[in-house]
Amino acid sequence: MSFVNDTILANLPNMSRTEADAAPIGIVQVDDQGAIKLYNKWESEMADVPVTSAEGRNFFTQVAPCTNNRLFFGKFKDGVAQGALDTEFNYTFSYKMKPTNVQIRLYRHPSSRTNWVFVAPRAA
Amino acid sequence: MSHIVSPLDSGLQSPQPNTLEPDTLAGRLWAAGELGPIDDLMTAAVSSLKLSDAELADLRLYAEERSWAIQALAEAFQQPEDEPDLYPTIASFWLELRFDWQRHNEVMNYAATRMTPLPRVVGHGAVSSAILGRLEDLLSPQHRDQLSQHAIHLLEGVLPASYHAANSS
Amino acid sequence: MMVSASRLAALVRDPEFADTVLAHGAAAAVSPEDMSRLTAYASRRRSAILDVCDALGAEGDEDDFYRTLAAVWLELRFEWQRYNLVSNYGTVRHGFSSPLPLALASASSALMAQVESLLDDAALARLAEFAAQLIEGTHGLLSSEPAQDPHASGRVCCRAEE
Repeated sequence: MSFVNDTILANLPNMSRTEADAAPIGIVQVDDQGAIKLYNKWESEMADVPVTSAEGRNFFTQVAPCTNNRLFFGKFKDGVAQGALDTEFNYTFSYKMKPTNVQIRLYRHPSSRTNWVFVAPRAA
Repeated sequence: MSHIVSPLDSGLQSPQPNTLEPDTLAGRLWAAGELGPIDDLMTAAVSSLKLSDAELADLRLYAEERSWAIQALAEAFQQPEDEPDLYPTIASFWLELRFDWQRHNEVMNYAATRMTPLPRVVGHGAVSSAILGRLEDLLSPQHRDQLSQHAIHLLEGVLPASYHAANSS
Repeated sequence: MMVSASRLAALVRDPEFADTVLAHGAAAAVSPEDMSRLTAYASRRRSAILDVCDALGAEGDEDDFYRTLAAVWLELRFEWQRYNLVSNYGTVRHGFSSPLPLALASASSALMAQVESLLDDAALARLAEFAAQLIEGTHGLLSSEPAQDPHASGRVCCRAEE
């Protein structure tokens, strides 16, 4: 069972910033190249990156450089290229923070063709 | 120096050498990180230096850490599908070690012109160089040359335009 | 603002410099034996930076000092990238990672952050881009097959055994 509940997924294309900021997980919308279109409050606080510093920049290469590899960004690029992306895996963030274990879900909403990165804490 | 623990004794999850095919890039990287040859190179490199017991122990720990780091990388990338990603990672590691060696070399040479040479720094530079040599055979000579030249070029241009202007008055 | 060797030396001598490394170790739940290795890592990094400050701290060395500091940052950046990959390959492939690579990844990035506070943002962005492209394999220097040239070596000089 995914840490991203079905209500969030169903609401995705029309999710408002207020709704995103109310979520208890990280929600990041990115374009097909990885540029951030929406960076929610939870993610901003976890990463200690202000929303205004994140939005417009590339999630994988600039904001979260520890994701810039085949394990993470590679999966995203493959999914975008195939037009289908829904994968969940464990990961650890370490860039300018203490090791932080997380669960990740990379998701491309089929009808709106929008891309989402979901992040939630994970016990070690 | 506090109690020195070998990575081999520290309870680290040791990579499994028998899962690495010796003729794969990961297998060759594993072999490059074997502690025995690195230890031999280190012993030869520092034999003429006047180092204290503590400094020698520190160098040995440094060599052991590098051995562990090389083999941890080999183990992480041991799947056949990882090999295309392993080569640039080795290139990056090589450049990292090159900067390590270069820094010791620079400090050693500046120190030599201004004050008593530092055998500790000479020793570290020698060990860095020896370990660097273990990785070099995994990369093409052209890539090594081009990468180091490019990095040097980048570093030559790091001074901001305003660096001196802001401080000359 | 010109970066002075004395300013960097003061930053590195501050107990917080080493404490930062050890705090990352504690957060990664490393064993007591590995904590001693982290302590040795912090000590080695501290000594290395102080050596640079001592060697290149004289008047007239400012440009070389700045470039060497940038090289130290790049070295830390490569180190962080490497430990990040090692720990996350473990996590993704096996569901877990050894604590020590995790701790070293966090520690090296924390040290990187301390050093980069003294460097120019634009230069750092160029260096970071180079480091990221290199490890991705997307940098142009690695994207083509090299010709066999026995005369090009790129080998370091001044090896002790030569």
